[in-house]
Amino acid sequence: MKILIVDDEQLARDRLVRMLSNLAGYEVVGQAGNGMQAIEVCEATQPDVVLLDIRMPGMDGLEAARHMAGMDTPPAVVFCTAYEEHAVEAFKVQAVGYLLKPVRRDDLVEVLNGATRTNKAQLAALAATEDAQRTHISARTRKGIELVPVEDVRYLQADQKYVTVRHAGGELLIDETLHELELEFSSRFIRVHRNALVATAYIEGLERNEEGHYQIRLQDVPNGIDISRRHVSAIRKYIRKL
Amino acid sequence: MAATPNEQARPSRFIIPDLCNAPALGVVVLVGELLVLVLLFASGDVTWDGLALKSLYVQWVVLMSAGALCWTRPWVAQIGLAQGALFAFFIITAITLAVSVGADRVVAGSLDFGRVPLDWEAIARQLGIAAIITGMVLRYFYVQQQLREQEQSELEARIQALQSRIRPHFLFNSMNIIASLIAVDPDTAESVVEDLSELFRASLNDAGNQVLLAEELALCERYVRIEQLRLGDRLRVKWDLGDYPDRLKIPLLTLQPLLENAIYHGIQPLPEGGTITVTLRYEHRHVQVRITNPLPAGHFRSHSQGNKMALNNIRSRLNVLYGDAAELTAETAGDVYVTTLRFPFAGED
Repeated sequence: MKILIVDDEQLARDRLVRMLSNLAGYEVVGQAGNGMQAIEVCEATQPDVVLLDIRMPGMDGLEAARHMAGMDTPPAVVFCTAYEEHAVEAFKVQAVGYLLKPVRRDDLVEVLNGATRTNKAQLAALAATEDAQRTHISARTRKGIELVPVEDVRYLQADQKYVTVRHAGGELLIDETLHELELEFSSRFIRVHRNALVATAYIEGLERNEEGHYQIRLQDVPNGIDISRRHVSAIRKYIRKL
Repeated sequence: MAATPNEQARPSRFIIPDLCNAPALGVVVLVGELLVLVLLFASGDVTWDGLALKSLYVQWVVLMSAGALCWTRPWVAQIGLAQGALFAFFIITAITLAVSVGADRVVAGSLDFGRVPLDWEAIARQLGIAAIITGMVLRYFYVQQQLREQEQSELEARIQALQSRIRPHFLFNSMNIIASLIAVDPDTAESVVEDLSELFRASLNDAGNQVLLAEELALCERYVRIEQLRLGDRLRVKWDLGDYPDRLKIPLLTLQPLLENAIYHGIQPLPEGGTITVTLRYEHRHVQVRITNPLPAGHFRSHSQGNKMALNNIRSRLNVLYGDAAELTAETAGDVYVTTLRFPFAGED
């Protein structure tokens, strides 16, 4: 069984490596010190199980797990925590594997043998209990998992099935609903249309196109985004407050 | 995000106890009667008639005052302590004036002020007595209230201290460090156990205890040593301790929690870590300690609650020991978070 160990503390990683080396049938294929690194190493090494610390600087374990769940062959995830009352409650509710630090050998063996893939719904539910916003939006592309920092996103536009994420460096298609994104990032985006959310930080102004429809102009975005009639007054009020 | 020192001021309560119940009224009547006896003995006119008349007068004043205070209590409880006392004083004096005028008319047997003029001299005398006694009673309640509040805050400080000093996170992280080290580096593991024991021994100590600054700094060093093992070179601490008297004392575990805050909120969320600076100066019989830590973007909001709790905890302990002479402020200055602690130390004795 291939295992990836993710923890920001070197000592904690060393201990897990040592424990696993004393057990037959497990191979540590990689280590990572934060969430971003974890996703990279995970794609490169394709582990069966990721032992994932929750509290890490930069991207934390819960968010890393959500992005990993979007991989072609997502690994099973086991969360590790020293003390996180709420999280442990949530793990129990969502039936997600977890270990309490200091990790005991018997617990480790048991949880590795029973480790199953955690699905996106479970992870989203966990994130909801933590009331956490992701720092990145991820999509599966030919290059693997692509991560875009949320603060670089200009707008989100819903198609039939997907949501287009327009960001500083291009576009990304993600498999999430606009409604969920609106709830998660309510502090950052504002709805201008049934099918569009725009980043408030990049709003430049309001304009009317040739047909007389209102559009919103965003920094670094050449084309205007349509504003539906029932959102016009709210958007206007919002811009005036800026 | 800067928290001001008076943020934790509790809502002031009315200094006069609740008079809206039978036992309290009983006591009021009894005290009123004792006052009647004092007045009776002082006047030299010790007769049943005198007793009856004075009782009638005093009980009118006392019971009407009790009624008025009971009735206005919900409102008065919301205004300040001093304003409440002033209000009570004013109400009782006003009632005394009204009853005195009423009594004067009853004695005169006429409502016509032209025929029998008011005996202003007697009324002034009665008002004077009422004012003095009311003042004394209010002063008594005021002192009692202050005593009660002080006891209360000491108790709260102690409970809070016990609750928040031992951060469960720190305990379990330390245990994890020991478990990790025990096989590969038993000597370091041993020293972690020693450091941890000292920290816990200190945290189980009396909340109001003062120790030598050097001892508190030694505790801080033990604490940093443990966190250093966990965070490695991500944690850098710069000590800038100016000259200070050897006998300088500080409430136990005041600096350590500030340092802990700085590490948990300023260093841990940063992938590349950062530097914490501790600056200590002793000037003009005051000690000033400044702790600065980097301010991680966005992270601060989610963790400010625990931060505020720790600060308020230290504040209430300082308040018990130094009153207004000590202050603890926290503010953001550019990209750093600065916590400043100031308290007096005069004792060169």
